[in-house]
Amino acid sequence: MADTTRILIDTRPLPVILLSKSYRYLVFALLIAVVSYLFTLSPPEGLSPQGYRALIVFGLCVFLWVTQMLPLAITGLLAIVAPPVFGVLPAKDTFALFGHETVFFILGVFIMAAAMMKSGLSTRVALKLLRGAGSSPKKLLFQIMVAATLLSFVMSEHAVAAMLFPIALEISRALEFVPYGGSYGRLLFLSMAWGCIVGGIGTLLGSGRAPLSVGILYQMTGEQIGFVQWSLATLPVVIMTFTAAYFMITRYFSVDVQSVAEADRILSEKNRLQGKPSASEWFITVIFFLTVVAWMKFGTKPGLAVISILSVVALFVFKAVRWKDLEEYVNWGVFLMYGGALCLSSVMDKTGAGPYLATQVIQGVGGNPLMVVIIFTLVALVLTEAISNSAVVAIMTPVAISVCIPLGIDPKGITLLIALASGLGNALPMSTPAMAIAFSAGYFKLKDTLVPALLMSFFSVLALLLAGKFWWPVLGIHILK
Amino acid sequence: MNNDRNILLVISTTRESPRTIAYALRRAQELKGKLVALCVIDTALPNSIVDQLSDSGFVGDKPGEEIYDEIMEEYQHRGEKKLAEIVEAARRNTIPAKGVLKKGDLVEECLKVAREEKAAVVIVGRKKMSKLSQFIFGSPIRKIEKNSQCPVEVIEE
Repeated sequence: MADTTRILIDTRPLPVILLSKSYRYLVFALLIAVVSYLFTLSPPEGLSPQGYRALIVFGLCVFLWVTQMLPLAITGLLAIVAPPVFGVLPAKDTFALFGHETVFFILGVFIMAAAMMKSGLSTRVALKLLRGAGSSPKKLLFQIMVAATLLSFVMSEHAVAAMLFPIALEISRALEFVPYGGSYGRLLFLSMAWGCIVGGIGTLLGSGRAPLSVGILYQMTGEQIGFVQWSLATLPVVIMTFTAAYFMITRYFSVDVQSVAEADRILSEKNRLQGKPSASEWFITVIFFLTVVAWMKFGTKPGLAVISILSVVALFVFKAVRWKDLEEYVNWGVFLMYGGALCLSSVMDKTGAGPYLATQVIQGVGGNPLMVVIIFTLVALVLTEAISNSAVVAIMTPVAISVCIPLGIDPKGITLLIALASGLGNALPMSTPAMAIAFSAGYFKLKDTLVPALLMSFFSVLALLLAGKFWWPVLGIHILK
Repeated sequence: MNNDRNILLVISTTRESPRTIAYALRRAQELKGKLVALCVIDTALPNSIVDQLSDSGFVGDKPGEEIYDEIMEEYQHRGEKKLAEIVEAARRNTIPAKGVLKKGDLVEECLKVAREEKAAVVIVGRKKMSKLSQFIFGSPIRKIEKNSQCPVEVIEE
């Protein structure tokens, strides 16, 4: 028998096995015990009993969002019902917050994205963008990144990753790649994922977290970031991170194939098989462009949400989509999560818990505005590698805004920084579904992406700070007033 | 050929197992038995992607189902290819062999096939794992060892 062989016996102790089976219930029991104990304590000096209870509810939701022991949407629901249960705010107030404009803007955006996916319009656009790479491996990677980025400007980056994955798989099959058989296979999936991540920060449509952060900002300060202002503010960040990502992919890793002509042939064939656009695709395209124009011109009045809902009505008028289709493509949990997050930020602000927390944070970090900005950006960037990026926005934006106001930091600036940093997680499979999908192809492991992802994070912070320092003031956003 | 000498080789679609395969071929020659190569497509990974898409990405059921099917199809394709290579390698060495592709839980499927094929020995590869990781998380291989009716030989890849 070879010396590499040995027979192992399961020696795990019984308590470890029992703990692994029951830890979830133990954690919940412990959580209830801790929360119950905290409620018996007196509020700290400078915080009202109502604010103290709000802080406990906030802590509870943060714990559940971070650990995801409950689905994000269910924690969102808890954020709506916990304040009345614990006497923080009356039920009619918290449920009213669920009807926030932002929630309906997201509703409209998700429905439009669903229509694009169902009709095949998004796949058609992706295939058009992937045409003509010829035999150049680098050009194909560039086109995959461009397709992922541009599509993530107009629909959820997660949906874009799900849609592009089969195309990337088909390319890898055409080129006869095998997992760990070379470098180019991993570049295909990495360029797809990083393209989605970069594009997802570009507009208010790339993910729910952008409108959520704008909604929290408006709720807490009355200030708004419009569709155009957001897109213009993020544009240089997108360009810088896209460039860094492309160079990282093509320089850090080796492009070890000579020709991708076979992939180009298959993509051309798929394009040909698409045929002519259907009437639905034309209607959806026209309605989408009119909607974007309306968001740009009338984003403040009647508002983004009104326009997006009117566009949804128009989709149904032209029979471009059926309700049944929407149910398959829209995850209604999104509204519970974002509604709950908005409710929680409002509860924190109204009860004084937010300003109290802000005072503690300022005392902790020394009150240097620039340091505060850098710390919040870095924390968002690090947190988003491990937890949902929407949860990062929901947790950090209310605290950051509360901290920044007394320090003279523009709340718009810090809102943008957190929303953008939270969208730039690019290393771990749990950072974003796009990375999880890319990992699932089996072409790379965590160790393959750690160093380039770390470098990408460095470039991302640099891009954010450069944009904040030199570009955002042109748009009227002065991070340090 | 003796039915009591069937050797069950367990491989995965997510990693290469050259040492395990080579060892299984040698054992089959030693025992003069039949080599049954089993590839289990573990549904846990695609399921976790669908969950993440739904819970964190708030993507609807349909794209989730589509990506699940795509991942499973890809893994199946890779599994079939690997099994064909192993069977071919066995035939070159005049070892009777067959490939079995299953979907589901690695431990359950492995034990089931071991019973069905009356395996005399199960050979399975694994990457190196620290003592601490083994202690805390355990591993599917430990479960196979604990529940298998025949000896399990573990090859460190």
